[in-house]
Amino acid sequence: MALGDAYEGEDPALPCGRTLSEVWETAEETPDDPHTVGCPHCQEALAQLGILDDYVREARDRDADEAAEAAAADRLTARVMDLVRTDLRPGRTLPLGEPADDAWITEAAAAKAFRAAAEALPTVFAGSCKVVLEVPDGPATVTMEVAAGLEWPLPELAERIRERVLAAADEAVGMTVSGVDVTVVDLIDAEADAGEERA
Amino acid sequence: MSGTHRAEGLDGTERELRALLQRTAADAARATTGVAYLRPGLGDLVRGAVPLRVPADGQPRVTGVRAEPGDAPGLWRLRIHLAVRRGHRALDVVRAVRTEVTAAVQRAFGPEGPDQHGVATLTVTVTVTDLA
Repeated sequence: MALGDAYEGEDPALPCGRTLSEVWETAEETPDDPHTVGCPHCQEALAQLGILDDYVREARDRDADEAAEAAAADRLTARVMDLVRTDLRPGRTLPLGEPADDAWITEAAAAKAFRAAAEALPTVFAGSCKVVLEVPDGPATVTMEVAAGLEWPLPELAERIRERVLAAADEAVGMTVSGVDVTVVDLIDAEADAGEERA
Repeated sequence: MSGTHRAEGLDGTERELRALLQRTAADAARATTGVAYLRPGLGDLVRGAVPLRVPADGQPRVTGVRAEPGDAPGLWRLRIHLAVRRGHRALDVVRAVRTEVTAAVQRAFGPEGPDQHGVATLTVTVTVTDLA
């Protein structure tokens, strides 16, 4: 049986009975695990993980220039994290529209829309974003951590982010959000940072 | 086909129908405006360029769509996982996908369609897994 045949939900099982996540965890925690060492299916799965690893290394090695490498690594990290968030750890699913729609969105996808909405504001960087249902059929509340430039008066910043997130919930996603809690976890002095870089 | 049989797994015809249903639904969903892609299987993310095994029929495996038979003959449920293209409202895309997929399945498998071996009632559940 090929890997995809056993694809069930988020974590496919290999023919030997172990799921992909178990194989990866075991390989990290107990590299000489007897089952893993002797099992062709586990070995094959690990070889595929190696392909991803090679890809990461290759992409990092490509740019010799240090600054370009850092930027490439950031992009790559962002891409890998994006994959992890959206495909490997999709989180809860949240209802879209009305119950009759039988439509859902993963928390990761909704959070991505809300982060993007907040980051459309100048010097705002969104971090953790949780979308939680008040009751099983919604509405949801959004809790977001942001870092922002010093020029923002905090109450105005929170209000602008709230407006953006509520608008995105309605216009970009199609789900009902009843509240948005914004926590400012860091203030960024953009001018000072730029000065340091020049020095 | 009885409920008892169903519990023991799908027979050859049902398996074939399921594969056809999944392919029909996937084609219709992919062609719907606002759909970026159907969610790749977890295996696809790490598989690299070489598939583990080429399916016997030579067709690429359908990912992002699963068809499950219901408790009675002719009853099927489709679960579709997809990414929505930015600039499109997720809920609207999902609704359009349901309409397109239902129509495509009706055309191919409904009482009017050329292949009448059975989809009487179809439930379509759509989950948006990414905004791309």
